[in-house]
Amino acid sequence: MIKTYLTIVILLLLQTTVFAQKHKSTTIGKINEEELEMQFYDKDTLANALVLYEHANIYIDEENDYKFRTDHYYRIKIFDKEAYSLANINIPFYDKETVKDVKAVTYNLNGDSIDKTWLKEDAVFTTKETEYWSQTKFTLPNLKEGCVIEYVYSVISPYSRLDDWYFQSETPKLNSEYNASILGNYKYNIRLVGTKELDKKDFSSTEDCIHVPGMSSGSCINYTFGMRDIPAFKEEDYMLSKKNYMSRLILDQLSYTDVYGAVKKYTKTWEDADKTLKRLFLDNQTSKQNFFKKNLPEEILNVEDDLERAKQIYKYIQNKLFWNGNYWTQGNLKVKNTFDEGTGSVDAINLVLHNSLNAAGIKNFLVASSTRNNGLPTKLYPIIKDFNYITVKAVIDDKSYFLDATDKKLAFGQIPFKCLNGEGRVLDFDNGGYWEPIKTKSSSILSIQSELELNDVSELEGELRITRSGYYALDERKELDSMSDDEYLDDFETKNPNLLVNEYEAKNETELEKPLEQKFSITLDHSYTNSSTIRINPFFFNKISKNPFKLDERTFDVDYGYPRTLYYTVKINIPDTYSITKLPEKKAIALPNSGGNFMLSISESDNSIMVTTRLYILKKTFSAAEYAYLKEFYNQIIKAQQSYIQLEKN
Amino acid sequence: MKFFNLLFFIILVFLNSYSQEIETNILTIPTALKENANAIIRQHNTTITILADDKMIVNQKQVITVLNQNGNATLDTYLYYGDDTKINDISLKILDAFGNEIEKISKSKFIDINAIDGFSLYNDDRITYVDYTPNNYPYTAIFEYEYKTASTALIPSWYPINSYNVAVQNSRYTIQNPNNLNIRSKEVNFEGYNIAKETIDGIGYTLKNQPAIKYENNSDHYFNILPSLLVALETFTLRGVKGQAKDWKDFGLWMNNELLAGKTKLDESTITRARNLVVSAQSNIEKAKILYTYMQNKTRYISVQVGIGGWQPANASDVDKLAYGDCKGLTVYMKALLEAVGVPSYYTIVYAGNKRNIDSDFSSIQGNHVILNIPTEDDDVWLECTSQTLPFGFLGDFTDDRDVLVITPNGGEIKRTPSYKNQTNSQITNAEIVLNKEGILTANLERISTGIQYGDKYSLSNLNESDLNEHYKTKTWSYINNLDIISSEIINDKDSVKLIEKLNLQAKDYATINGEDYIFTVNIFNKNNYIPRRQRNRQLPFIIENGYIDEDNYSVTIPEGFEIGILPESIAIKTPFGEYTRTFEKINERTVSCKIVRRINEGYYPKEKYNDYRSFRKQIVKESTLRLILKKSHQ
Repeated sequence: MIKTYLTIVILLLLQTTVFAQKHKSTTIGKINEEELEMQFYDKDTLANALVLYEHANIYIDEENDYKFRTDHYYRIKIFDKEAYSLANINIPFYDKETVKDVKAVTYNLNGDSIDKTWLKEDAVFTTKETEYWSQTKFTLPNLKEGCVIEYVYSVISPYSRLDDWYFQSETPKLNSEYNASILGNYKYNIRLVGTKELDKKDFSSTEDCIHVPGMSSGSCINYTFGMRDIPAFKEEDYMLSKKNYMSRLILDQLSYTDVYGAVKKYTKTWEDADKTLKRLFLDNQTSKQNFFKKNLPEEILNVEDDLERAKQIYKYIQNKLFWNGNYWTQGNLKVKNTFDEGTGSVDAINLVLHNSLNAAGIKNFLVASSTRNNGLPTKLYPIIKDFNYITVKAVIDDKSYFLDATDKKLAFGQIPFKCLNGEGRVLDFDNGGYWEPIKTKSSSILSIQSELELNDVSELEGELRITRSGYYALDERKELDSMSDDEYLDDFETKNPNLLVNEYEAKNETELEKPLEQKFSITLDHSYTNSSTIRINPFFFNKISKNPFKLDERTFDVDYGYPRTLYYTVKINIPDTYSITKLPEKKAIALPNSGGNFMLSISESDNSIMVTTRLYILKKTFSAAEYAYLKEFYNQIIKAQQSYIQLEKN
Repeated sequence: MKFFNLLFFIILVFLNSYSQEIETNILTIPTALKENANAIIRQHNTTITILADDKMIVNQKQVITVLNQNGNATLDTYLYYGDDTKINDISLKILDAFGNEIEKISKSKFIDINAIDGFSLYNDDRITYVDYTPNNYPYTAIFEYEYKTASTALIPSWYPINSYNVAVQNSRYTIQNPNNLNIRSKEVNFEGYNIAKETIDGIGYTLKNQPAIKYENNSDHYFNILPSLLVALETFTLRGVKGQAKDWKDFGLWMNNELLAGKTKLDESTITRARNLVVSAQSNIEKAKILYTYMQNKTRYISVQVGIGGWQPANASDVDKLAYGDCKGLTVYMKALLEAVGVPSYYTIVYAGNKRNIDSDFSSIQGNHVILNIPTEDDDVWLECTSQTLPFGFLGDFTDDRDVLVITPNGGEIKRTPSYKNQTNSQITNAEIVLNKEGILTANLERISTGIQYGDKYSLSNLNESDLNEHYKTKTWSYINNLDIISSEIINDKDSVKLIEKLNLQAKDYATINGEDYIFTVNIFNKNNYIPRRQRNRQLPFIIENGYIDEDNYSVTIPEGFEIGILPESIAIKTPFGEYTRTFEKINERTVSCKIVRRINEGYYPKEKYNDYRSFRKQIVKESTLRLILKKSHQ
C-alpha cells in the first residue's frame, strides 16, 4: 500500500517537473479590456503599434523526440493602419526544423463586448523559399484600428544552436521575456548587446528535468531574462549595422557532453576556436600548397622579388576565379575544385589565394571577419557564427596587406568596403591567432584639377583632370566597366549637365595599383552673365550642395568606413578685356579631435585666378556627440562653395 | 485517336533529330549582331503541341552566347509552373567560346521552390531553377525544357526580342495542332522586323538576324515597340475550368458565368448593414461613396493565390469575415456591397502600372489587376479597391488612360479608363517669404496638388509629424540647407481630390552676403533638376508619359537697408514639349513678386526631337538657379 502510494507521488512529481517548463509558455486567448481601449502609448505617442507582451520559452521536448522546442508568444496592440503589416507573420526555418501549433486571434472591441476572430488552419501556409530555407506564413484576420492581435507558434529544431532574441525592434515594447531550460550537458555563454539593461535576470536549476526512457535523467539550467518599456529602435544613415546597437540576447554554444561523458566543445578559448575554424569551417583546406605549386604558372612562382611575386599571384587568382555571390559558406569545399572550376564562394576563393601564396612562399594568414551588415564580432570569447567573411593577410618585408580575390577591381592590399568593420581574427595556426584592425592599404584620394580659358563668347573652355585612388578608383572602375565609353560620357554629361565633353581619355583603367586618371576636354556652360558683368562659380564639378547630415539629434556613431581626401584646383585664365572685381573668401575650418579640416585658398595674378580647396576627413568614425560639428562643418563647406568670381568688362 | 497522337510523336522526334546543327562557336556570330549586344540568342525554338483543349506540350530550347557580365540576365534559368503542369525535362549545358561542353546540369540538380512573386503572402505556383556563375566570357548556354500542362489558356506568347542589348540570330515559334483545334493568333508590332511566316499546318514564325536594340531612357514601353505574337485557343482550359471564347464578349460571358457567378453572395447581416449605411443617400454615386469608404476602412490588401484562385476571386462573404483580400477579392467584395443596395457595378480587368492596353480585338488571358466599374449616366466611375486611402473614383497613374475589359452579365466589353492630362496634374505653390539681414529665410507656404501630383503626394497625410518634417528636410527640399520646419499641416481633401500642404519654414544662411551684395536663389521651393539623359546617338522615339503644370507664386520681402535694383526680364520659353515662363514684379521698395509657370506636355515624339527636349529641360534647370543680387541702399 505504502509502496503504491510512493510510486504515485513520485510519478506525480516527475510529471510536474517534466512539464514544468512547458507550462511556462504563455497561452493564447486571454485579453483584458484595458488593452483594447488603449488609444495611444503614452511613452511614444507617435507609435502606431505597441508590443504588449512577447515571450519565448525554450526547452527539450519529450513529445518531439527530445528536440529543442521554442514556444513563441506575441500580443500586439495596433493603433493605426500603418502598422497592419505587423499582422503578416513570416516564420523562417532551416532544413530539418518544423513549425507547429500555430494559433492566432484578433480582438476587437465591439461596444461592451469583445469580438474574437481566430485564424483558420487552412490560412497557414508553408513555402520552400530556397534550397534549405522555408517559411511558415499567415496573416491575422479582421484587423481594425485599435485591435489587439495575439499569436503563438512553436519551432521544433534538431539543432542546438539557439536564435538571438531581439528585445528591441522598430516597434516599442512593454514587456519582452525569454526563458530557456537547457539540459546541463549543453553549455552556452550568454551576452547582451545594446545599452538597455535587463529588468529580469534569473538562473536556477532543476534536477531530473528530463527523463529519457531506458537512459538516465538529466538536470537543467533555467534561464529567465526580461526587459520592460523598450523604446523603438530608429535606424540612422551612415551607421554600422543596427545589429551592433539593438538590444538583443545572444546565446553562444560552448560545449555539449554526451551521455557517455564525452565533451564536444564548440568554442571555449580562442586557441580552440582557431583549430575549430581550421578543421570544421575551412574543411582542412589550409595546407594544399603542393597542388598549387604544380598548377600555378611557373613564371609567376619564379619571380624573384617577394612583393612582386605576391602581387602576381594575387592578380592571377583574382582574374581566374569568379565569385558566385556566396559568403563564408562554412560548408564542404575543395580548393582544387574551386581552382579548376573557376567559381566559388568567398571562403573557397580566398582559401585558394591562401594556398597559392603558401605555394609561392609568401607568409600569409587567413583572417576571419564579419561584414558591415553582419555586425561586429564579439571578442569576449570565440563565436564562430559571428564571422561571415574570410580574407587573407600577407606579410611581406614586415608590412601587412589584407587581400580579397573575389572582386576583380580591387587593388593589391585593398579590401571591399563591406569588410571595413572593426577587427578581424588573424588565424596563425602555428603561433596562435590574434585580433587586428582590418585596414585597406591604399588611401582614398580624389583629386580634381582644371584649367579653363574664358573665350570670346563668354564660355569657359579647357581641361578637366580627375585622379582617383583607393575606393574612389574602385567605384569608378566598376562604373567604367559596366558601360561603353560613349555611355560613360552620356552618363557623365547627365550627371554634370553644365559640362560638354569634347574629348576624353583614361589612363590606368586596368592598372589597379595605379591611380585612375581621366582627362576631359570640356566646355563649361557657366553661371549667369549680363552685358558687362560675369559671375563664375569656380566649383563647377563635384560640388557639395547638400548636407548629408540634416537631423537635429543623433544617437549612434557616424561611420565613414575609411578616411578620405578631396583636392580641388581650378585655374581660370582671363583675357585682358576683363578685370577681376570679386573673389571668393579664403576659408579654413577644422573638426574637433583632429577629425578633419577644410581649406579654401585663392591666388591671383594679372590674368589668371587659381582657386584651391582641400578637404580631409581624417577619422573613420565620429561619435554621436560630434554630429553637430560634422553638420556645421558641411554647412560651412557648402557656404564656401557658393561663392563666385566676378569679372567686369574693361 | 490515341494511336494517331503516338504516331505524331514519333514523327516529331524523328524530325527533331534531323534539325540543323546548332551554332555554338562564337566565331560564327555575324559582326552586325555583336554591336551593342551583351548577349546573342543564337537559337530560340519554342515548340508548342496542342493535343486537346486540356493537353499541351511546350518545348523550349534556347542557345545563348553571353558576351559579358551584363548579358548574364539573358540566361533566365527559372521556370515557373502551376500544379497542373508537369515538367518532363529541364537541363542546362554550358559551353566555352568554341562550343566545347564544360558543364552539364541535369534535371535532378535543379532546385524546386515555391514561387515568390514579391507581393503575395502565399502563391502555390512553383519555380524550378538553377543558378549558374560563369567563370569566363564569352560562354554559350543551352537551356532546354519541356513541360506538359492542362491549362491551354496559357499558351506562351512569342516575344522573340525579350530584352534590350541582346541580338537574336534565330528565334522560331511553332504551334503543332494535330487535332485541328480552332486557334486564333495576332501579330503585334511586326512591322520593321525580319519575321517570316511559315506555311505549315498550325502556326510558324521565325525572326532572323535581329541586331541588339540599345536601351534608351524615355522610350516607349517594350510592349508597344517590340514584336509579339498572341495566341489563344477557342476552347480552352484554365486550371481545371473549361471555357470557350472567340472574342471579348464570349470571354466576358465565360468569366461571368464560370469564375464570378455566386461570388458576390453576402450574409444577411452584412447586407442589412450596407443598406443601413446608405439609408439617407440620394443617388447611386452617393451610395457608392459611402460603401467605398466603408470598404476602405474595413479591409486591407493581402494576396493569396491558389490554383484557379489566381484568376478567380474569393467569396465576398469570406473577404467580409477576414477583412482582407487581393485585388480580385476586394473588388468582388465592393461589387457585392453595391449589389446589396441595388447599385450595378462590373468587375474589370486591367494592366496596372505602365500604361498598357488590354488588346481590344484579341481575347485571351490578359491583364494583371482588377478594378471596379460603376456605370452612370455621365462618365463611368472607377474604383481601385486595394487602397485604404485613395479618394473615391481616383485611379492615379496606376490604371488611368488605358483600355480595360469590363465583365458584364452580357459579356465582356472594352472600355477606356479616364486620363489625367497635362493641366489636370497641377501643383500650385503660394509662398510669402521674408529675408532678414543675416540671410535667414522665413516662409509661409501653401501648396496644392491635383491629379497625378495628388497621387504622388497623398501618402504624406499618413505620416506622423516627425516623419513628415524629416521627409521635407531630407527629400522634398533636401537642397535647402539648414531647413527648419516650424509647423506643417496636410489637408487631404478627398472630395475634390486635392492635397493641401501648409507650412511655416525657416532656413539659416539661405542668402549669401558677400560684402555689399545680398544674393539669393529666387526659385526656392520648386527647384527642378530633371534633365533627360544625354544621348549622343538617339535611336528610338521618346515619350513624355504624364504631362503636368507647376505654378509658383513667391512674394519676397527683402531686408531693410537693401534695394531691389533692376529686376531680371521676363522670360517665356515655348516648345512643343511644354512652356516655361517667369515674370518679376516690384510690389514696393522692399517687396518683389515672382511668378514661375512650368508646363510639360504629354506626348510621343520622334527621336530627332530628343536633343531639343533635353535642351528645354536643361534650360529650365538653369533658369531655376537664377539668383537675385541686392545692393546696399545708400540713403
